[in-house]
Amino acid sequence: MDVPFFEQLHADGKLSAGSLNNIKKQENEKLFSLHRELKIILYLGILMLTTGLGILVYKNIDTISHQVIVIVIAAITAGCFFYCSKQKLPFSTNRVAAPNSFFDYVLLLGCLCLIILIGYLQFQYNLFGNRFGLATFIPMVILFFSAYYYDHLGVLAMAITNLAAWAGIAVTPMQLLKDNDFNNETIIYTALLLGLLLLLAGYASAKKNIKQHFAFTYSNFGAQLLFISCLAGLFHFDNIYLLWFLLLLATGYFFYLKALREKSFYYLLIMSLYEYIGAGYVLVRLIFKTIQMDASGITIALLYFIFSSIGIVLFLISMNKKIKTL
Amino acid sequence: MIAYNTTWLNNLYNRQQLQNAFTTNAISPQEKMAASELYPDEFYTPHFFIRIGLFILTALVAFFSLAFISFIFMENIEYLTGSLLLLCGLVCYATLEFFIQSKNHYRSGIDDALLWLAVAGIAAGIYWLGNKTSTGNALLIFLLALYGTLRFTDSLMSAVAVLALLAIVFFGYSPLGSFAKATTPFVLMLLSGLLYVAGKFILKQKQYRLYHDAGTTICIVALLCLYFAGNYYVVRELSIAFFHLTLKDTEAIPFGWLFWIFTIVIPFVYIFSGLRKKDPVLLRVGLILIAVLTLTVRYYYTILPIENLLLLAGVCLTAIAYTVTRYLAKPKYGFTAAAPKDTDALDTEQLEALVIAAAFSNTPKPEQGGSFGGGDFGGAGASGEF
Repeated sequence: MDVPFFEQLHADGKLSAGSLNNIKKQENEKLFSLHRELKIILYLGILMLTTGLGILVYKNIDTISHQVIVIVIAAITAGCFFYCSKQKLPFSTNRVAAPNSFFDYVLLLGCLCLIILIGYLQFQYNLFGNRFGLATFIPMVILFFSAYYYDHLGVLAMAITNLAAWAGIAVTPMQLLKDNDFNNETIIYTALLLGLLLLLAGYASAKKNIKQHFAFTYSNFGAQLLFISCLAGLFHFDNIYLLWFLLLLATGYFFYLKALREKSFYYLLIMSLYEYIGAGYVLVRLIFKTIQMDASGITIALLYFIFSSIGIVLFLISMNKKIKTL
Repeated sequence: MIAYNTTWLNNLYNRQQLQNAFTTNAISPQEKMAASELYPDEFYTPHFFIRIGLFILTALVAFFSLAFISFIFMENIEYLTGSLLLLCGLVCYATLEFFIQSKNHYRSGIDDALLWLAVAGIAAGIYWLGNKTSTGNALLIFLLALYGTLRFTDSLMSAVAVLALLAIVFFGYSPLGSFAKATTPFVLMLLSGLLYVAGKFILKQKQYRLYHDAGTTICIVALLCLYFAGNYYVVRELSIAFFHLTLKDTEAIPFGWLFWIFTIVIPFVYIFSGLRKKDPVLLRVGLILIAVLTLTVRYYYTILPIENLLLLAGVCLTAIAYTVTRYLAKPKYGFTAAAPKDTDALDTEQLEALVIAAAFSNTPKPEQGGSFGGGDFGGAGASGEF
């Protein structure tokens, strides 16, 4: 802190002597926090550890040592869950703080090892038979259970990605567009339904006051899935694309209201961008496919994009003001 | 020199001081309120997410406008491209000044986008009009970025300025002869070191406090450049690409041992001096460079199969983090493992959850076996910035 600045304030009579003393004391006793660095090192450590174990177990599948590896993974899993169950504070539908600074990481390590273990058992011994769904379904259930039982937001996010994987789609931010084939109609419908389901889960968490702090994670995944499946439907279904556009508009309106209700700039932003893409597509399509214009069509399209972008700039500016005064 | 109203910038700084003092409970809410009223500003700075949106949309307006004008002059586009880009850059600059002077925009997304577009447009336009030498381009970009840094106190511009300055020296000095070629890495390291000192100077001088962010960025970029200028892989590949050094795959470069020493020692020097001086920039850059060091070594020498290395590194990192956190449970030597008070816990947690899902959701799976997805694992974790 800028001590001379506070001294000046004190001299001007705007700051009590006690407060100035507090500031000087804090400045002298200032601690250098390694919190973030340690946290990232710990996360990286767990990531490398589990990735290494995961490769190791399959690479050595024909040798004797792989039994040892499996036992080690099982031991880690058991140890982690034992530790967490022993340390955890009593369950509550409200937010439960972690009992110590390692709890969250131990739980994460345990969950990851468990997933590796189940995946391996299925691969090697066909533990769940040929019902392929079960091999992703069971880790998902365990993850959801752990997220609620031990109160861990990161595990919840993993559970949701597993739920989506079970339904056949990838939802992590990096893979959402890359790994999914949005020309596949089943995927579009699945994503739409899953989005609605997650939105509902988020709504229920907040409304029924069951782990209220989970609501955003649910709603966020739900929102992205819903918007993207609407856009995918818009691009894919040639005959009824206007119907999908209506659905996109309705979704947008829903999130507009949600943004106002929750004073959320985030939902406002994603809503505006998705609607902008959808509206732009519909217009370009009208010009080039339905009306079939050439040079004048390009002119109109470009002018539309210039002015609609300016329009959204003005919209965002006014909404920023509106939400701030709410 | 600074385009923004400096009184308001100073007021913002002072209010931030008050806010910090308030979050650590040093001053009472009443004191904070009363004192904050002494330091008003009329900047237009929207919420962070709105800023992102305004940034994207401003860039789109500029892009579509350029496309529109290009479309009108379609017939002669090959003669006009340079002039159009230059014109676009200049218009962006004029608009930028307008938004700052008349609309009081400050870090609104619009001014950020216009500044970057202006610099990019002017640089690309002049390049197209005939400024084709590497040194000339580096010089042009340096001048533009320096101006952008000084007038708009922009961090990204300061980073570009540092890189461009190093590029000028690289392209200007290295062709001077074989001695120059051999000493280029050292000259670049020396220059980076000087730039770091300059960045530190800016951070320490009270009169430059409005350039605080730019100063920090200069320090970070200078530290990274100092390392990469002496990194074995970088020196080897650049020597091959620019100095037409012909080497076989396994052949070492002249003075290779010296660059190996730089490659291995510098990250640890950063970390230790970061801890000694309690300087987060040095410490964090050092930690990142440890990863680069590992990758460099592994590129040339396969010490362990990848899974064993991952396992070993994972165990070591977890153990280090555990031991240090335990050791610092009570603050020692001015260090603590506890979270700083000034962070918004819930927001970071939400972000953290997303990063965890992205980084950890792809546990390795066997390649065969119909029930499983692709075996694309890990990697995203390093991008996690909390």
